[in-house]
Amino acid sequence: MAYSYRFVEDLCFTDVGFEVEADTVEELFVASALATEAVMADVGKIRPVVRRDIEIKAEGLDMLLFSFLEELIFLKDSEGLLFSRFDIMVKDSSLKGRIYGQPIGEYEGELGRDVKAVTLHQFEVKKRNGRFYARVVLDI
Amino acid sequence: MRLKRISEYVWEIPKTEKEGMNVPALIFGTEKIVNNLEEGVFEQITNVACLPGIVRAALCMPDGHVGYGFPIGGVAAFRTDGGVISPGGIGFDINCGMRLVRTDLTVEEVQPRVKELVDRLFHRIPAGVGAKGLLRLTPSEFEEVMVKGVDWCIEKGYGWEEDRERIESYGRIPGADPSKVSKRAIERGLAQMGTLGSGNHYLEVQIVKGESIFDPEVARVFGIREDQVVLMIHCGSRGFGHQIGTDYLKVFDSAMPKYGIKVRDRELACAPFTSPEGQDYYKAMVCAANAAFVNRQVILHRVREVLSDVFHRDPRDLGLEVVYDVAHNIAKVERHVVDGEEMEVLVHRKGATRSFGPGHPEIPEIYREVGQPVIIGGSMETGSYLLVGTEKAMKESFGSTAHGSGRTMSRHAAKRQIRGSELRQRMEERGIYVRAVTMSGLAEEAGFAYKNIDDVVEAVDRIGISRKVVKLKPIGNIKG
Repeated sequence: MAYSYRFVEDLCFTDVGFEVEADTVEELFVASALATEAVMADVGKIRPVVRRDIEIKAEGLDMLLFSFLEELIFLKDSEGLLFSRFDIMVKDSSLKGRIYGQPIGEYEGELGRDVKAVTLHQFEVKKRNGRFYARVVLDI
Repeated sequence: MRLKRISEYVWEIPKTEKEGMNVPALIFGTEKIVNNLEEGVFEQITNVACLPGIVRAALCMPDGHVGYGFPIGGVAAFRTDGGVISPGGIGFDINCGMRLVRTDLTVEEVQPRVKELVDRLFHRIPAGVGAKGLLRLTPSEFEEVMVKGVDWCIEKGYGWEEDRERIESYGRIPGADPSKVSKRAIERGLAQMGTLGSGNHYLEVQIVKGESIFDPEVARVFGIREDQVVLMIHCGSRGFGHQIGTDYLKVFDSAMPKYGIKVRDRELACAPFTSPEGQDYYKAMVCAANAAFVNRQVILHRVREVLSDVFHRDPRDLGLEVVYDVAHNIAKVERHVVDGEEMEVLVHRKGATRSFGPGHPEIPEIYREVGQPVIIGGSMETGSYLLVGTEKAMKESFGSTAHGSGRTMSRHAAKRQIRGSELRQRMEERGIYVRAVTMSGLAEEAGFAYKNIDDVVEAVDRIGISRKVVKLKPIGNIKG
């Protein structure tokens, strides 16, 4: 089991793009979530003290990832929460799980950039060389 | 891609260049600017030229750079009957815009106290990730904000009567329908009215130097004079608008097959303007646009309070009047002459500013004789400009001009070149005191990461789609 993400400058230099590779679809989603949170904060310093149960359905795996990341951005603005731990299950085009994080007001690290939205710019989710791959650009 | 120079400052990509183009694409700029544009800009503007119902040409302003779907600096007009509306032609930050505020304070009065002033503004105006706004609204009050825009602020004491006419569309675009806005958008935006945001959004204290006044007569009409201190606010509709953009991007992405629309880039997802999806998005977008006017108005209210505290004078006595407020991410129903025929069109301006010329009925009487004030924000190091709209813009660019300087370097590349603390120090040595929520975010906004604002403004001035009035030099800056 392994996953990784890396920020890629030339995906869109005005904003933030990243690529993710993972062995499983769940890991792909977790790594994408960590990359998204890493734009806004130091993920290592977000303590997992608050839990939110989430359930998301979408048309296709790509829009499921889009909606999952969008949920994190929504919770950042609506409830003021940052997340660092993700226990999720993905089946067909639905996702169910528990995510853990901390209110922004209690977070002690340096804040980063505010993420406005997940975009469909060069957005891609696919299987590549036996692993799962995603490319995401966030509007900041 | 093949570019044909059709006049000194206009390049054309003919509609034969790419299959599916309905109109040509026109790039506005000097030779230097056009030669330095990324190839992606040409791809994106020709993709826009393929959209259904587009009229005359897809335009790219001199500050153009690659965006999502549309390039930043993109302007496109579509027939309201038969054309489309596209969230990608507006941006997620609906009605991101600029507001310029004049004062009666002089450089001599403010310069010695600029640190105190900027520190006070920084503490009183929420900015950055997760910041909560100055207003505590109920959902029903928020619905009023969406419909009434700045009128709501004036009713509640967050604005002056005379502010209204100094805001594009008088701070209240008709057609807002809160029932077309999702509960998620309301939950996201409810607590954020009166926040600056992050990224390239800012509040800046600027000064007017005598040698930077290019048109003294128009400057006088706009209330600008030598040795004066002004303030500039750059922000948008915050999470509320971002969520509306996201919601309808998904709606349009799924709806396109129903209308037989195929686009070359999913970020160009669109629907006919008259379709239920198109109308719903337009009505929701207007809600976000009105909320953005309110956001900038509430920030101004706080600015007035802070300056009043710092200088122990009433805000009216300080002359804290709005010069103008412009939207640079928006779509608006306007009338323009296309191929000799006046018609109603939906003008998308994504990173582009309205630039209506003298005499236009949309311009308030106080400015009607000279034209609409146009505010172009530069990087925090290089300064910004106040310009005026022109008749030529009405003919050439659907009454539009540039909006800023346009990035030329990635955020990571900027951070590799300088640390935030180092940049802050360097700016302070040059007389610009800056406070930022995040130091790494500050480094990303370094002046060298942007095109030279002087080149962009020189280009729009020479093209004639707006005329420069005054350059504004920063002395203090707050960043989210």
